[in-house]
Amino acid sequence: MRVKRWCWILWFGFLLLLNYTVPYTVLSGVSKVYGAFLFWNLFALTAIGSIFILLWKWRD
Amino acid sequence: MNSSYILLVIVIYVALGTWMAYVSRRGMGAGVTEYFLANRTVGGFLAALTYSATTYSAFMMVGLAGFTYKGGVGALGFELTYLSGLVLAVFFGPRFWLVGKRYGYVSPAELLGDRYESQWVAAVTTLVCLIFLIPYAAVQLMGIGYLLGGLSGGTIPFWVGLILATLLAIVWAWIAGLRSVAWTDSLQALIMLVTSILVLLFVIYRYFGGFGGFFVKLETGYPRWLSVPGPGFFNLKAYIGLTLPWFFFCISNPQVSQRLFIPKSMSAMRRMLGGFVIFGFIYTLVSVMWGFSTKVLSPDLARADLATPTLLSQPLIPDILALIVMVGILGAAVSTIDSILLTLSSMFARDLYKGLRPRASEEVELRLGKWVIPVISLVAMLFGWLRVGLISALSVAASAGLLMTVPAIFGAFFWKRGTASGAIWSMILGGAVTGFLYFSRIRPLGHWPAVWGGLVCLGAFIVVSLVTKPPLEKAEEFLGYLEDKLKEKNAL
Repeated sequence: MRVKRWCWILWFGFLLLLNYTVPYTVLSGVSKVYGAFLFWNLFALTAIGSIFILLWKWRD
Repeated sequence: MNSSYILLVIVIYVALGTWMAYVSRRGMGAGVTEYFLANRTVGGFLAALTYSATTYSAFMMVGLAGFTYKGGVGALGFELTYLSGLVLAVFFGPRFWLVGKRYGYVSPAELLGDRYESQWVAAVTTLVCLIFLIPYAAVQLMGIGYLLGGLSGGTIPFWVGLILATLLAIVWAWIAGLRSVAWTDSLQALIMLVTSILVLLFVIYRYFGGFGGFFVKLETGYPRWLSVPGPGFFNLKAYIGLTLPWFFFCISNPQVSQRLFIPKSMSAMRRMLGGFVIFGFIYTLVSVMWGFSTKVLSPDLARADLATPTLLSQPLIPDILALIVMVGILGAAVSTIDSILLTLSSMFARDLYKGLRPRASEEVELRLGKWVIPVISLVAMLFGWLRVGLISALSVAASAGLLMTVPAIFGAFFWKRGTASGAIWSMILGGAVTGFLYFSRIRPLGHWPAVWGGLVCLGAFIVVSLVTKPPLEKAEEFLGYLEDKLKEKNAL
């Protein structure tokens, strides 16, 4: 359980890092809808998908 | 817009909400846990709606739309960072829920006080929450003042909206505690979501001929609004300063973290969090698109806070639609304020008063908690009357202050070596640094107060904990119980 917990923490940490770095570096010159706008939507959907995977493992 | 129509719609909204609040009293028991937590028996659907309505306030439709208007797409990243912070609720939700049931905690401050075996920890947490949540509640009231004023073309003065929202929050929190708050929240959450989507679709199709046309106009007319730092507001340091407290919002804001005590089962909590993230994603996108639409339609507003009232006053928007949305925004504000009132009153009664008088009966505690509701509301209303600064910046300042409770919360669940002194000094020093930097407007190296306050807070928690004696026996028992139960529930 502890190893699994750390794997998920690292995954979410990686996502969070992308949230700060990608729009301010790679996408800072892209003034289009497929730039930061699309990136942040995909970032949120990935985070939400990961949250759902974890929630669906819970038992009563 | 004609102010008599506005008043008529408000009367219908107030009557419907008050009826729901009264209906929610059916089957209500007695006692503090019943009043403040609905006896920990809330189902998943209701919990998801009350969680959403409590979290999303007038800030979204007024403040976030304004942020987008002013700073562009950075506002989307800022709010979606908050939503991604819900991953913290996946880690902390089951922990709050399990220990809440086992030890009978009513407030997050009580949890910290018991875990660190110090009533002072609970008292300081409560004071920090009181100090920083009052501006946040005031922001909601101000949102209503601006909205009604903007929609009526100034016929309805700012103070009318302020007083109306205050009275509603008091009455709906008072009637049946969390039961009335949860039911009125649910009604309001549905109104908020449905009406905001309706307006967006109406604007996009009526003014731009569809999403394709809208994005083409945005890309050609305001390309800088589609990248960061864009027009300048969302430079990287501002983005970090704004998102840092926002990411931890779901555990740092007690009116939200207290919701982690209320689901009746783990499945109910799963539905609550799952329902919330879907609600949140849609609502965020809609609010940001409102801001973009207003930028294209009315690019030269004097203040970004006026983006939403301006959008709703566009000539092609039917009055009836604008009126229903106004109720949605009013609902968003009221549902957040009444939850804040209920949480702060429970903390005041349990963590301050009962800490001073441990032998006080539950009846006295409950009576005091109920009477604190109007007192806190009046203080928030007076603060709102002062109309300090940009609405969204104030909201974030409040979250930056509450961020100072986060190291103590992490320590309670993940660090046996954490101590009461560490928790107390981290909140005091971190809160003082954050408050000072906000008031003095000093930003060392260009970083926002949340960053410096957070660093001081974390440092103080670790250093003071290492030089003081931890409550190891309690920590072993508390964390040992959690470890076993989390395995049983298959939660991380």
